[in-house]
Amino acid sequence: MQATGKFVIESMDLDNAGNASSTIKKMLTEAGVSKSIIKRVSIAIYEAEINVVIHSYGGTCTYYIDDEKIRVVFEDTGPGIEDIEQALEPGFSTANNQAITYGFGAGMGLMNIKNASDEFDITSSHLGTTLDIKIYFN
Amino acid sequence: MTINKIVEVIRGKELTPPIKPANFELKYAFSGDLMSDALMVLREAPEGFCEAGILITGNVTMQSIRTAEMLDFAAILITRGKVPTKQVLDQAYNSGIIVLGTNDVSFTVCGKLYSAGIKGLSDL
Repeated sequence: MQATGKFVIESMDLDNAGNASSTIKKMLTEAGVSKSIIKRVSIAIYEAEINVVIHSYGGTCTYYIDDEKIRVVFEDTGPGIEDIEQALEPGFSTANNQAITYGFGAGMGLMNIKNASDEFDITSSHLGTTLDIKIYFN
Repeated sequence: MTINKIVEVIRGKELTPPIKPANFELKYAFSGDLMSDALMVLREAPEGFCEAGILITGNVTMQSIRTAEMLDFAAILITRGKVPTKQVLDQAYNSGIIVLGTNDVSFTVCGKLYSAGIKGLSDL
C-alpha cells in the first residue's frame, strides 16, 4: 500500500477535530492492517489532532503510508511549547476551558502519543511545533 | 446483555436508529468524562473490550463520539439526561456507534449496569 495526503487543522475547531484520524483509520481498516495497530495509530493521530486544535494557531497533518509503516507529521504555526519535557509530564496542561468542556486538557495527550508511537520526534519554537511519528505495521 | 435489556436496566432510551442486530451483546463498560483519560487507559485494553463495550459519559460533545470511534466502542451512554445534537447523533450513526441516554447520573447508572453483569476493565 502506498498513500499520502494532507489535512488542514483549524484552531479551536473542536466540532471537526478528528477528521484526519477518522479518515486514516478507515483507510488502514480497508487495507487490512491489524486492529491493535489501527487502535494505536488512531489514538496517536487523534490526540495529536486535538493538540493542534486546542493549543495552536492552526496547522496541518500530513501522512505517508507504505507497506511497512505509517508516518504522520503535524506542523503548526505557533505559539510553540515552552518546555517539551514539562509538556510530556502526566497531568501538566495549559488547555483552556473550552478544551476541557470537550473532554481534553487533562495533560496526558502528548505522553499518550509518545507511548502509542514506535518513533516520536517533536521540535518546537515560538514559530510553531513539528511532531513526527511513525508506527510500524509488524 | 442485549441493548433492549440495557435500556430497561438504566430506564433509558436508544437515541440512534437500530445499528446492531437485536441479539447483539454488550459485556463491558468504561466510565469517564475526560476523553484523554479513556484514550490513555483503553489504548491497551484486552481485544474485544471496546468492541463489546459501552463508554458511559456525561460528555455530550462531538469529541465523545470521536473518542468512541477511535477506540472501537460499540456504544456510548450519555448520562444526566443530556441531549446530543442531531450532528452528534448523525456522526455516531455513520460511525456505527449506538447512542443510549438516561436521566441517571453516571455513578448510579454504573452501579445498575455492574449489578446486572456488565464488567469493567479491572474485572478482566
